[in-house]
Amino acid sequence: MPETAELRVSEAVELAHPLISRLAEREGIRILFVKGPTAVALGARPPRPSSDVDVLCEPGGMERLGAALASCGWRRRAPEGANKHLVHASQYLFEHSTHYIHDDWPCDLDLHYKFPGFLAPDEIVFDTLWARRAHVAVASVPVPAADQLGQVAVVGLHALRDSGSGLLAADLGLLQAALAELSPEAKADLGRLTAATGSSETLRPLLERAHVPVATGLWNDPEALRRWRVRTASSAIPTSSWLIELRATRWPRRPALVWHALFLPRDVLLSAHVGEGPDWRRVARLQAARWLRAARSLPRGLKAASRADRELP
Amino acid sequence: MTDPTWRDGWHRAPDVVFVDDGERVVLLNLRDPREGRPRLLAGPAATVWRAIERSNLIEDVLETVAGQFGVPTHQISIDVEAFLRALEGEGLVYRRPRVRP
Repeated sequence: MPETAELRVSEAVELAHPLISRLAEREGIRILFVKGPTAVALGARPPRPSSDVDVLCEPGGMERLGAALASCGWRRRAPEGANKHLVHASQYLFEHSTHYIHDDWPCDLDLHYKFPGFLAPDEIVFDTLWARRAHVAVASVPVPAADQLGQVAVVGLHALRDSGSGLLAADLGLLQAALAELSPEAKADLGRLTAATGSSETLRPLLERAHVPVATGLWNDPEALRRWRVRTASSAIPTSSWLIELRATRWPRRPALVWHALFLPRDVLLSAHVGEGPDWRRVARLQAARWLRAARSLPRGLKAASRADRELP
Repeated sequence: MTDPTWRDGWHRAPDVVFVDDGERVVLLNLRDPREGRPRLLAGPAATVWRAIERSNLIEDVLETVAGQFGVPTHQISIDVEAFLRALEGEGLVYRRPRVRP
């Protein structure tokens, strides 16, 4: 007789796609899957296991989709994360999603209400991607996803935002190779898509290398672009956000901020390590590894923080 | 052929999604997502699930399972019938009268 399955990560990630798709359909909410298995299927990301499911939700739909997920046992992960202490630096963090977890599902659901790097208004970005959506088979059924060029834009922005990661550098390498193979018509189409979504400038390093025409669109907010550039320049430096915040914080408040920077809450620390037990040794090891990374990157972090402040309007 | 297990054809329920890595199959019934718990099929159970995709006739399903595990069909027919009825009880498969050519 069938028994209840203890899901593996890969199974959870795949099955969560049609689950979310069904819940969204029932609630009348438009969603698009981005990154993960759908991007791999469309050739916009190298094949590798995912540990989370990325969903772009239409503006105004997040609350209802979150409630539908909660009715199935999913709950928000670490709603009060460490970022609440980053007031000034938050402009460079591009908060963009809410994470959901479930005791029986070893994967995160990452519900995006926006995607950093698209500088057009959220409604326009979603509608543009929705109008050209694809359906990709995941866990035996088709689910709505950004089409190939939409995935290229999303994966490209994600990789450029945190380009210090080796995996994301591999993503950029694959995208460059894939873009080189595109027909002139497809390249022009990508140019129009990036112009419509305000990502021509943010994706410029990728587009130029692949000889994709960089079209100027309506959405060229210089301040948004400046923040994006500060973020991409400092993303590989673990301490930069805290140091940017520290520089903007009055002296009496600095000791408390340093304390929060040094001692992340346990759930926040574990949130990046799905499936690992919360025993104190594990937490201590993660904390120590974080301090080591911070110490190594401190000089570069100080430079990045100073540069960000100098570039303030 | 009066037993409905034999008289009818077996089909996967349309609300069921699944992942099959060749070793095991995990099913999820989305008819009521709040109630749906992933169900695991391995070994002959997974073979039955795969077999009803190719043919909805129980004799074909029995032949597939028997062939794969090297046993005569009459030795496994009771177990396979019971298994299909259990899947039916969970809403994972359903029966429909066979369409004869």
